[in-house]
Amino acid sequence: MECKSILVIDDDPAILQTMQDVLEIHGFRVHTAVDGADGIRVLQDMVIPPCVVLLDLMMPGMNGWGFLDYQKGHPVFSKVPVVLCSAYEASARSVGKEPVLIKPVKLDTLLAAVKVFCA
Amino acid sequence: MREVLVRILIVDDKPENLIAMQAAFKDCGYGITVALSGKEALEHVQDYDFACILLDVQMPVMDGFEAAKLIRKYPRSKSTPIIFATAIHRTEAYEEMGYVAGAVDYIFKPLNTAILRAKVRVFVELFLQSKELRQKNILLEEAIGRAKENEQLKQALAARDEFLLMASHELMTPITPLSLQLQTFIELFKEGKPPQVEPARLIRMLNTSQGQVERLSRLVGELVDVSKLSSQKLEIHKEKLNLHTLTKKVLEDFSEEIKKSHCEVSLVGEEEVCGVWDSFRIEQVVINLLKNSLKYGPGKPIEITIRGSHHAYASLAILDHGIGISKRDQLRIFDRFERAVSAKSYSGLGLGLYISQQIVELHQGRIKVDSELGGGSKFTVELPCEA
Repeated sequence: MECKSILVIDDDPAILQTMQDVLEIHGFRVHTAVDGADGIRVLQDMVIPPCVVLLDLMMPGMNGWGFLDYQKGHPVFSKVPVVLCSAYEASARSVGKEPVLIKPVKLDTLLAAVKVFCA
Repeated sequence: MREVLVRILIVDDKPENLIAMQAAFKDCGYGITVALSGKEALEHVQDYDFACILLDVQMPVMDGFEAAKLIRKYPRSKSTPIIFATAIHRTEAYEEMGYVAGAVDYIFKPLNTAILRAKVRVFVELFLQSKELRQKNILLEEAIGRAKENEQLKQALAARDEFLLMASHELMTPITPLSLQLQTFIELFKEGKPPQVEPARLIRMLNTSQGQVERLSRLVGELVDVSKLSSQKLEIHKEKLNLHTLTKKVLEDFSEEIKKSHCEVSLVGEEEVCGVWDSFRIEQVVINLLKNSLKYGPGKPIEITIRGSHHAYASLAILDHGIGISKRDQLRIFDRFERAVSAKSYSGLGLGLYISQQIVELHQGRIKVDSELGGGSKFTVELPCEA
């Protein structure tokens, strides 16, 4: 039960707000960030890293790829699993081995994906 | 093969000569036009393209040399081959005169029918060949024109396809929160008992849902506007308006968005700038420009200046300190389906400036941009004050 926190990174305020509400209703602690750089700041501020990061790819400022570059090179954060959440399926699939959620994502699919990492 | 009627013109002041020459071309299949004077010949050369002209040198009033000079002045006959026919001027000096006047050949009377026919046939062949070349050239030019049109159509189709892909993603974005929230609500209320969620959160979620429905209808509205503009069906309903009042109201309506963008928006200039415009559409223009400034220059001040109470034109300028637009991109941002930045970085359909420009032009006004990459942008709308 220690690790039930999720970091959601998305530039769309409505998506961010909704992810937070929906995941909190289902008992997760949710941190939010509006782009890759903001996500890095939030990660650095967290005492215990989240059990999973839900990452949008297309964002102004630092996008999802930029965030992944940083995260993968970091000694601690590289161990945090990332789930990609994008409307562009082909782009998301080509990133690597990260699991992919295609927007608009179904509630069941979203919950199942995060539960893999937040038992 | 010889479907084309080949015409030759025979000019001679003596009817019996004309009859003799006509007889010489019997069975050749040429259309023969005859003229009894240089003056009459000049009328014919304006009406037909002759393969060649047989021109008698000795004629009263206007002799053959004079007639040839004048024939050369008409566009249709400026390069028609002229064969001079003469009985007496067999001297070289006279032959030379003929060539200077534009003759390409000389034939001496009494005429040898075989030579005459052979000389004319050479020019007829030339005439047919150049006619065929001209036709091929026309066909070629048409084909090139069609290829160019095809290329333009292809590019337009590609732009449209790209736009459709982008637009469908854009329409899909509000569906993500909307669908997640509705599924959550269904789950929360499915047991028939009050949900275990604090009311404040429920209300916030419902507001977000409502916001997404508005966002969807705005996007669909833009698509409707574009199709109306393409088919010239966008109607303008003019009424007397004050541009300052209208802009002030837009700023009030958008106070939430302005706050979220951390932009400080100031409205300066004159307060009584009136004209006869479509309030809904002009408001749409102001909103589009304001939203662009907020989107591309968050956290930076925005200055809106309204002027024109003493001029024929009212102007509204909106100056931001955002990412700016390169000179090259400035050429295309008002086009349909065009935007200076990637759709992957900035949301929206990229139709705002196109729609705004069209609305302004429907008011006989104009919209222009002054910007440089990294140096912010200034969009100016000018509208005629009189209806």
